Amino acid sequence: MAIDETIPRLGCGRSIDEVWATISQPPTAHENGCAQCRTARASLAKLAEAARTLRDNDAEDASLQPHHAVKDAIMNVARAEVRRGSRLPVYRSGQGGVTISEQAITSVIWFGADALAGVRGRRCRVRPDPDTADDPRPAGTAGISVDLRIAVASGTDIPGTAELLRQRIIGMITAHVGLNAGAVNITVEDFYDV
Amino acid sequence: MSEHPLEARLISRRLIADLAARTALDTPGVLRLEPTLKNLLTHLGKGTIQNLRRTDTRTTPARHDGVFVTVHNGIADVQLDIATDIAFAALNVAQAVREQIARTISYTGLIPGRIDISVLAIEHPPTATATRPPAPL
Repeated sequence: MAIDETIPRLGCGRSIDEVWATISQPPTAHENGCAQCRTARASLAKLAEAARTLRDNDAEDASLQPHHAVKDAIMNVARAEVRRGSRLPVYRSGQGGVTISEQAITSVIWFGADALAGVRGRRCRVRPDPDTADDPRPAGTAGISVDLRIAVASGTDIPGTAELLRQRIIGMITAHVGLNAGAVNITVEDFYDV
Repeated sequence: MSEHPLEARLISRRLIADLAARTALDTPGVLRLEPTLKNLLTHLGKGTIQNLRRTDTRTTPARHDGVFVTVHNGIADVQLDIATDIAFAALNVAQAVREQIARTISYTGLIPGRIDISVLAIEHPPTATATRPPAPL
């Protein structure tokens, strides 16, 4: 199934614009039950509040009508921010810490998955290892877990390919992110014809 | 003793933000600072009508996009959002940025406080993206 990558989508498949379209209404049953939609709504609620303030200003002073490029800039940044997902804490100390966005890590995983023949990445979630999620982390000890859903070409050796992909992802996360990949859970959810 | 009185100088929040941004961009592995919605709206809130009438914000990026600085009691706290080069380990780059910024702040006479770095993107450099596919391990 071809997915238009130009449209920002949440992990549940909904587009950011769909969430934005109903931001002024109470959350739907899906949005109540979907953590990603709830996070997106929380982020977009701040944008909605800012937009309301801008509209109020415009009503009082027409010369404050913002140029469309400003609106575009805000929406571009807002979409990018929602796409980034949560920020995973990977290092903490009394003098500050380091976080890495979920999207930054998944982009590295996509590089690894898509470069493997017969594999197409579908969805990916990363999260801190539960054992260390709330503890201070010295440098180099942070770990993450990966849940990856893929489609494979018909006739692919699934166990062999999955193991190759797992090792590849572990290597890329170590080399390009600097973290330890604990569990890498791979789900083959579909086949595609070559 | 000189007859000229000493001139008092104040290290401003803006100067620290400028130094932090420059220090980060000079650190190997940092591609750019990443503007966030909070940063953009703060910039608009503090700006003037000129900001609202700007015709193309992409060609006139704010110098401190991606940098938040607070100074209190001689202590400077910095929050920085960056994008890193995929050829480098992002965590190592972020640590190097933290250390360099702390050193730079100490040169101003202020005390480096909390320095928080967020890596928001890990990418190939723009020139390499078009010509080179991701390198397999």
